Amino acid sequence: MRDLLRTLIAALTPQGVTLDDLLPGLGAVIERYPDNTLVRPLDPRVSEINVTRRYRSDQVSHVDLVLLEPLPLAELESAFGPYTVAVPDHPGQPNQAIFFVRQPSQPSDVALIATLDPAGAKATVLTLRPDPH
Amino acid sequence: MTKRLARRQKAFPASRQPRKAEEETPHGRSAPAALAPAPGNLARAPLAARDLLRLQRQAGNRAVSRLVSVRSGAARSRSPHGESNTRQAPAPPQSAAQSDPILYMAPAALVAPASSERTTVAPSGVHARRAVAAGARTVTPGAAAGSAIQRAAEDFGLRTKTSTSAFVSEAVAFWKEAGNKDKPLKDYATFLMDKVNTMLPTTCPSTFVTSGGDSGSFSRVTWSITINTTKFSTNTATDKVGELTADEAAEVADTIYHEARHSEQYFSFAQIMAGEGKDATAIAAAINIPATVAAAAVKVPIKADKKNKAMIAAVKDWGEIGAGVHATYKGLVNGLLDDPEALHRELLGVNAARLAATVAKTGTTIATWKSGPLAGFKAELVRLNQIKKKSKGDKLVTSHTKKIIKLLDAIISTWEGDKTRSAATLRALGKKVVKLDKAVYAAYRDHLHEKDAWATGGAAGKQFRAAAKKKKK
Repeated sequence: MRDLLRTLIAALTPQGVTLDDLLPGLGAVIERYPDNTLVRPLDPRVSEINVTRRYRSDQVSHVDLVLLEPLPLAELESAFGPYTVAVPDHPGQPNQAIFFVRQPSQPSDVALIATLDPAGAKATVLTLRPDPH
Repeated sequence: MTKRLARRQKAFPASRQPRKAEEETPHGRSAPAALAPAPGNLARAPLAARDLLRLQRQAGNRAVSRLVSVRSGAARSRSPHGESNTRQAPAPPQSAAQSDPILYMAPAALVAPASSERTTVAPSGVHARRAVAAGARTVTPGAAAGSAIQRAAEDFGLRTKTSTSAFVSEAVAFWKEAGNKDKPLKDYATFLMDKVNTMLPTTCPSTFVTSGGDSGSFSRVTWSITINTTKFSTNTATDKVGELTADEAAEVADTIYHEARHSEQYFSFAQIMAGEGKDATAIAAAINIPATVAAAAVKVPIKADKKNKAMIAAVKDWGEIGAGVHATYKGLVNGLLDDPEALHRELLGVNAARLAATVAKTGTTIATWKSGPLAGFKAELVRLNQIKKKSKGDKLVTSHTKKIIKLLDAIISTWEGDKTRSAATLRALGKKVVKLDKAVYAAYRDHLHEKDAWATGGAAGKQFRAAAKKKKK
């Protein structure tokens, strides 16, 4: 999984990345919505990909990877360092661990957001959000 | 956020079961030219906190926001199935501007677009309708606070009557329009998102999904509203706009308006942080919002002055519980919402046949509470006691924390001191767990940012229901 994440992070760091920039590496389009596109992933470790663009824009806002098998948070921590936890607003929603992947030589950093299982030990969904400098 | 409408009726004890709302599908009728901003409410008996929590779990926040604002009254609406219902008569029609004195008092004072996201500042007293019509982004907190007419500190942006009426009138018109009846549900949601995005200080995309328990949910982390149209109706066959009942269509509008309000809350909080001198990086890291949103907020900071003091205090209280110093407390409260109810039901229903199982379950649950929530709340109390000048939100959080700790301590002490483990002692323990359940729910109801979002979305839902009943003149 680390390899996939590194590849996606690299793909999201240029300025103004669009869905079309990412699609060849992600998979085939299942359905297009006004701001997001569901993708059938090429990677067998991912069951679904959802690419959301900024409102009425081609630029990617974030990419959700629904994992086939939950990924231990410790594995992400060893790969990407310390994280902060975001507590959701509503009951029943899972906590999220946020890793800030600094890319000082690139136009954007990338936030890696792990949606956690109820025990808080494993990630069920990984979200990659480019954060332009 | 969960919308499980099919079970809504079951959420109420029979004695307090609301009358079945009459619903009317829109087609064959067209939207009225003007909509009353102050419709009546469903006539329902008062609801206990327990009922509300159960409803919220089963039917979603939107349903609760509607019900908690229930007062009284009666008028009629019509069901496509010929059922009848009693509702309050709507208030006489009044234009949005008439209902909002600030619109008459305040000059338009828009600043030129400040960013690529078309954010503009309305330092005070902006004519919201004109601003929206012009396609501008207005940052309205200062408008309310700076007006010559005083009103509630939180009464800005989406929560103003003007914004609510504008949103609702277009939502109802779309739902009633015959030409839209065969459109997919996502078209309705997209229409609502487009409307609300014209009112927000910074735009928010939608992310449609086909699974998940929520019909709509805002995430400050991704700055998007996730929408699942399969949750729009209790009827699993419903997939077109014309198949949504009035109540369901209102619920969708309520949900999207509520979730959009959360984005407005966090953006306002970011603006205030910017006004206090924090840069975009610091703001993004502090409240877990995207750097792009923090950068937009920094361009339109809100600086404290005499006029906006109350508004800033309100927004800060929302921010602190949403993503600031009280976020951990929020997580503790939200995480404890379900277990007490399950346990007191078990304890109060114990009999000889279930005694061993009940003892085992109680032991497990209480051990979890002792090492988890109780320890967490006690740590929070230490932190809270260090706040010297407490805001309204700080005081609420402190009060609830103390109550919950006291009740948890009492439950644990009673359990650990109970050497008999009889049905009678377990039932006595169950009564204490009921008190805990109520206290946790009361704490949840006092999450100030949710309270504001319930009021904001609830007003939209209420107006929608009233407008949906009107026939074309």
